[in-house]
Amino acid sequence: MIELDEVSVRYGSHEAVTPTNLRIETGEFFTLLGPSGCGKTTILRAIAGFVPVASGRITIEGRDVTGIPAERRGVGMVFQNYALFPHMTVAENVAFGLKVARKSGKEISRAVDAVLEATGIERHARKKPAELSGGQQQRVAVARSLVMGTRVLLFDEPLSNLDAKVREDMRHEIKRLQRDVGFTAVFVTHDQEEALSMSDRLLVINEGRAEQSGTARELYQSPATPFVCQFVGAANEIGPKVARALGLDAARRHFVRPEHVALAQAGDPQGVEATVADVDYLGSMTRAFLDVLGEPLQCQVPSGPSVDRLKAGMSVKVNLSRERILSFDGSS
Amino acid sequence: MTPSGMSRIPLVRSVLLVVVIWCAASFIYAPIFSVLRFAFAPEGDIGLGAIGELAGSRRVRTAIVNTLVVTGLSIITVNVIGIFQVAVLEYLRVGGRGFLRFAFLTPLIFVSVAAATGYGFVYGQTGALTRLLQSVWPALPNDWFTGTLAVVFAHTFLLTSFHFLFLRAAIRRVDYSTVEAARGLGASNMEAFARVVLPVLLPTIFATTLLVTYKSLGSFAIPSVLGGRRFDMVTELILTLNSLRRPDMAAMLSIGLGLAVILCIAAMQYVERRGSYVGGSKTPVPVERIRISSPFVNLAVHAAAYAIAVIQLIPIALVVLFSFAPARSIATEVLPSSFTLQNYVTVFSQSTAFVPLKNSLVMGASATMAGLMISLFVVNLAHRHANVGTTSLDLSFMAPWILPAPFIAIGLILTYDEPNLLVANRVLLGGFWILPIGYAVVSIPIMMRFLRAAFFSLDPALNEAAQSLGAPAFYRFLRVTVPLVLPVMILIAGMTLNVILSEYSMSAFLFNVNNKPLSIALFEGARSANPEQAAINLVYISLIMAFSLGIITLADRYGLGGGK
Repeated sequence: MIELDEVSVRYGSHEAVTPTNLRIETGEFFTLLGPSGCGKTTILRAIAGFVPVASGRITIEGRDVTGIPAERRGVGMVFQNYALFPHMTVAENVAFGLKVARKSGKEISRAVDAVLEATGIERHARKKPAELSGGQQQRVAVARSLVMGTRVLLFDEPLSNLDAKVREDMRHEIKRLQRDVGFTAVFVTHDQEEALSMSDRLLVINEGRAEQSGTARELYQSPATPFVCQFVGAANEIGPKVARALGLDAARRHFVRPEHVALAQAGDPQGVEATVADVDYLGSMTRAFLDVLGEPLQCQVPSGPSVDRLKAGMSVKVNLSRERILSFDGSS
Repeated sequence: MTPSGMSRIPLVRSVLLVVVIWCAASFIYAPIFSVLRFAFAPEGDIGLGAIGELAGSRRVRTAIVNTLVVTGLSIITVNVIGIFQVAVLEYLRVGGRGFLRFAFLTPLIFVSVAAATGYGFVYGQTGALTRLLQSVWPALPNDWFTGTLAVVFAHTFLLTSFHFLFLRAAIRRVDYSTVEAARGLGASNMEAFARVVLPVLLPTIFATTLLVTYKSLGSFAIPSVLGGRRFDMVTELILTLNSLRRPDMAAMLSIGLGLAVILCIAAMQYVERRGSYVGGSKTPVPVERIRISSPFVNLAVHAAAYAIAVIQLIPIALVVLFSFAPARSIATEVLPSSFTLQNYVTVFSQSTAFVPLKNSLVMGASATMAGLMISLFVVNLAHRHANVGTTSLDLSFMAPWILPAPFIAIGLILTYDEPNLLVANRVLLGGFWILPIGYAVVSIPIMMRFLRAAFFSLDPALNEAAQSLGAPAFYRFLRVTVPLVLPVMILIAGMTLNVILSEYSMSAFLFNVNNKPLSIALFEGARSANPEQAAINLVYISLIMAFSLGIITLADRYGLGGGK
C-alpha cells in the first residue's frame, strides 16, 4: 500500500502540489489523471524519490520513505521515453539492477530469461534499444523494473510516444502484466480514455490540487467538482437562459453530458425550442451542435435514419431530464 | 567497482578535488598573477613603466602596425573567399561540388606551423612555384613571397575554416520556403539572396569575422615562417622581448594582446546571445542550389571557385608528392621525377628525426589525458552540483579560453623559472613537463565546452532510471554517464592531440632541449637550407595532415561538426 499524508511539493516559491492525501491499495492499478502541468508527474516523482517533498509523509508498504533516496525505495519506474540505456543490450538493461544488487551471474541470467519471456521480448535479448520498436522498448522498460521483484511500479505517461494501434495493444499488455504479476501500478496520463479503460481507481488533479478520487464510474457519474465533470468525459455547462427555462436554481452551476440531451421533433409538445447549428457524423454516433435560446449545447445520439436527416438550420426540440443534470455549488 | 565499494568515494572525490584546485592555482592563477606582477610591478612598486618603454620602441610600434594591417586585410580577404566558398558549396549550382568541397575543407587539416611550412615550401625562396614563376618571369626576386603579402595570402586561404564550419551550417538552417516566398512576391534570385538569406546569415558572418580577427591578432606561426627576418607581429615580439630578458615588456604586451582577444570574445558572446533568426516554420524546407542564368557569370563563378581550389590544393599536393621524392629533387624540380619511401624510413628510423615526433606524441598524449581527466571531473561536478564553488572552479579552467597562448606561456615562464613552493620548490622551466602543462592548460577550455555539451545532451531520465534500479551515484557515473560520453571523449582526445601535434604558440615559448616538439622541428627545418631537413619536414607535415584527416572524418561521422 502507498500512502501520501499531507504531501506537498514546492519549486522555489511555486507550490506545484498542495497538501495531498492519497491511499493506493496493494495490487491496485491507480491512475493520476489531469491536464498538462497539473502536478500529476510531480506526485509520481515524489513517490519515486526524485522530487523532495516540502511537507508530509510518504509510506510504501508501511515503511516511511519520505527522506530515503530513490535508489533505496525499491520502487520501479517506467519513463515517458523509457530511459533504456542505449549502450547496453536488452538483456544488459534488464540485468542492470540485479548487478547493482550484486546477484550471482547464474541468478541474474535465470531472472533475466524469466522476465524477458514473461514480457515476450526474449527474442530481442541481444539487441540494442535503438533496434527495437516503441512497443518493444516499453516492454524492456517494464521488464527492467519487474526483474527486481519490485512490488510497486510507477508509469510516467509511458504510452504517449506510441502510435494509436500499439498504444491500444500496450494498454492491454500492461494491464495483463499487472494482473498476472500482481504489482501495484501508479500510472500518470492526461488521456481520459486511457485512464478510464485501465484503472481500478483514479485521482483527478488540477493545478496541483487533488480534485476527486474514485473508480472510473464514480468519477463519470458522480463528479465532485465542475472540473472533474468537464475533464472526465464531455459535459455541457447549461447557460442561464436554458437553466431558467428548465426551472433550475440560478445560484448553482449545472452540467449535462451530450449523450443525456434528447432530441425531439420541432412540433413535439415537450422540450425547449432549438436550432441545429452544425452536425458531425462520427460513424455509430452523431454529434449535433445546437443553439438553445441563444446558448450553445452539444448532443450526441446514436446514428440512424432519423438522426441522419439532421441538417444545419433545422428546428428541433431538446429534452433534458432533471435526474441527468449534474449541479454544483455556484462558487465551485 | 562494486556498489558496496562506494563508501570510499567521498574520500576519493575530496582528494581529486584538492588535486584539481591545486592545478587551477598552480597553472592558471599563479601564471596570471605573475604576468600582472611583472607588467605592473616588476620591481615591487606598482607602475606603468613598461607601457612607456613599449610605446617608445620603434620595433614594437611597427609590430603593432603590422598586426593591425594584417588583421584588417585578412578580415576582408578571408570573408570574400570564405563567403564565396560557402555560396559555391551551398547556394549556387556549381559542377564538381565534391572536388571543391574537399579543396575548401583543407584548411581544417592544413593548419598552424605545418601549413606555414607548406606554403613556404611552395612559394618560398627555393619553392617549386617560385621556380615555375621565375621560368616565366626571370626578374622575380627569390624572396618575393614575404612580409605582409605572404602573411595575408596565407591567412586568406588558411583561415576560411570558420566559414566552412559555421557559415555552411547557418545557410543550411535557412528555410528555403522564405526564398520561394520572396521569389513569389517578385524578387529575383539575387534580390532574394540579398534581402532574405543574407540578413539571416549576418550574425554568423559577424561571428566568423571575430574569429578571424582573434586568430589574426594572435597569429604566430605564419608570420614567423613566412614573414621574413625583418617582419614582426605582436606575438613574435612577445617571444623576442622575453628572450631579451625583458619579461616586464613581454608581460605588458601579452596583456595588451589578451585585452584585444577578450574584446573579440566579448563581442562574439554578445552576437551569440542576440542569437540568429530562428524561423517559425514547423517544416522548414532545405536550401536548394540555384542555377546561375547568365552564362558569363556562371563561367566566372566556376573559374573563381576552381582557382581558389587549386591555390588551396597546390601546397598540399606538392608537400605530399615531395615527401615521397628524393631529397636532392626538392630544391631543383618543380614536380618530382622519381619517388622513394626513404624520407619516411629516415623519420621513423633515425633518432634525431624521430625524437621531435616522439616528444610531441608523448607530450600531446600526457596533456590530453590530464586535460580530459580534469575536464571530466570539473564538468561532472558542475553539472551535478551547481553552486558558487563548482561554478568558480568551472570558470577557472575556462579562463585560458579568453587568454592568448603567449599570455599563459609568459605566465608559466615567469612563475616557474625559479623554485616555486606550488611545485615542491622545483624549477619547471627547462624541464620536460613545462610544455605538456602548457598544452593541457590551453586545451582544457575546448574540452570542457564539448564535454559540457555532451553532459547537457544526456537524458536525465537515464540517470534516474539507474537510480530507481538501486544504483548509487558513482556507480551510475561509471556505468551510465561515462559510457555515454565516451565517444565524445575519444573524439576530443583525438582532436586535442591533432592540435598539439602542430601547436606552435605555446611550443615556441616553452620548448627546450629536453622536449623539442614537432612544430619547432618544422619551424627550424623551414629555415634550414639542407634538403635532407626539408624532406623530413615534408614527411612531418604529411603525417600531421593524415592524422588530422582521420580525426576530422571521425568527428564528422560522430557529429562534432568536422566537415560535412
